[in-house]
Amino acid sequence: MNRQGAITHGVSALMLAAALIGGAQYYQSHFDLLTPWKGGGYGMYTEPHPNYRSVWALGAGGEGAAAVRLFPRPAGDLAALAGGVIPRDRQIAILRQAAYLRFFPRAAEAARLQALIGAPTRIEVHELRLSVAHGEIRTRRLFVAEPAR
Amino acid sequence: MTRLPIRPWQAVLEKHPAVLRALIAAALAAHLVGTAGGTLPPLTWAMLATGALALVMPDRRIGQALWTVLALAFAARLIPDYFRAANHEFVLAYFALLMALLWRAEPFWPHAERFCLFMLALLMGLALIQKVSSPFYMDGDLLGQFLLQRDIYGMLTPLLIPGIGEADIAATALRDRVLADYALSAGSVTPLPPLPEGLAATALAMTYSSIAFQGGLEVALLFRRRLGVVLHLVIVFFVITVYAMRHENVFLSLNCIMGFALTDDRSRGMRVIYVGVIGWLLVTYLLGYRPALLI
Repeated sequence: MNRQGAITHGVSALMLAAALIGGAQYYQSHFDLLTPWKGGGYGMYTEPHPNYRSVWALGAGGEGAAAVRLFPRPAGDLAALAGGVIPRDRQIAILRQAAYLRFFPRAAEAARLQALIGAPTRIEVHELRLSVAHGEIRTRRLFVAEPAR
Repeated sequence: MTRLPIRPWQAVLEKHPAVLRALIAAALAAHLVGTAGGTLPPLTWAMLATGALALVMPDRRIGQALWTVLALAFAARLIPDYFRAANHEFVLAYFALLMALLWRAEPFWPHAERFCLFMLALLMGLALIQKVSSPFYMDGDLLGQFLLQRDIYGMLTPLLIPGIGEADIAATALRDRVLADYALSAGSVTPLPPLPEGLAATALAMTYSSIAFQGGLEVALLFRRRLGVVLHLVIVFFVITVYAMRHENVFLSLNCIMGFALTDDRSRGMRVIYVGVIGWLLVTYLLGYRPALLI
């Protein structure tokens, strides 16, 4: 292959990669939980912003246990959930991981968050939709990770 | 007939590879500096230095090697956390890879033009598909929410939709209450306080106008040779419309770069406009300056 041919093929490969990434993002945002705002599929401004997803941690008691909101703006007693005082560095790591989790809630990312909290914890991601057309705020539980055994 | 050498300012009006390369390099640099915040981390400095060195390197082989390193760095930043990366960061990485591929290409322009046409069609086409396949968008809820919370045209909407300010305050308070309550947040339907008349209809009209416009842009790309300057006016109109609503300067500058690459002899006058718009978008992005007239 001459140089011109190599360049043409290289540009074609780049175009194909862009199309495949876009297609994969479309699949993951429509048939999985990836937010359309991220990931190279150009779905920003089609669904609620990821800031409308909230991340919650519940003690081993499940739905009856006190819920701690980790994202947005932490609310609740995280120390009680973790069974003692949490060093500041670990608190920051927990909140950062919770913020990451909202973009694409998956078991592996949730397990990382559970490990950071360091106690049996149920992790949930919720989504809020503000509908002007229907005049309502609708919420739903998007993702649940049970405590690791 | 001997052709006179092109002066720097005339290069903008010609299909000069150096101009397109400089525009892409400027967008990449603005993104690196802008996302780093106040103090640039060592990796950002290293990437900026690599790009600057590649631009001034007289030996084009070494220049291409440096661009390859830079492009791989852009790609490497994306891969581990691709689900956190904004869409324009992917386009920037593609452009960095394009620079590496085409650094020594002669002729340069046909390859760049082919890539930019494809990327613009892909970007607009996928965005259109994402919109049409989203009931939230098609019901007018996305733009309705933006209008209600004055995330778009915040200065303008109170003049056109009376009572939107009060509705915004009430809806935001309700939203925060729902978000703060585990049981409400986990699955509930809560009626919104009364919304101003005309809000839902305005949002729906804007939604369908946006769909029609984006579809029109796709068609215009198909007939770009016949349309000449009209295609570029449509692209610039798209850029201005989004600019008036959202702080997406780097993404918009990439649209202008792709438009610039698609200019031909019939639309050569648009090149200066594109360069001016790209310059404005990137400089104001770095300065954090947003004229508050419409937003």
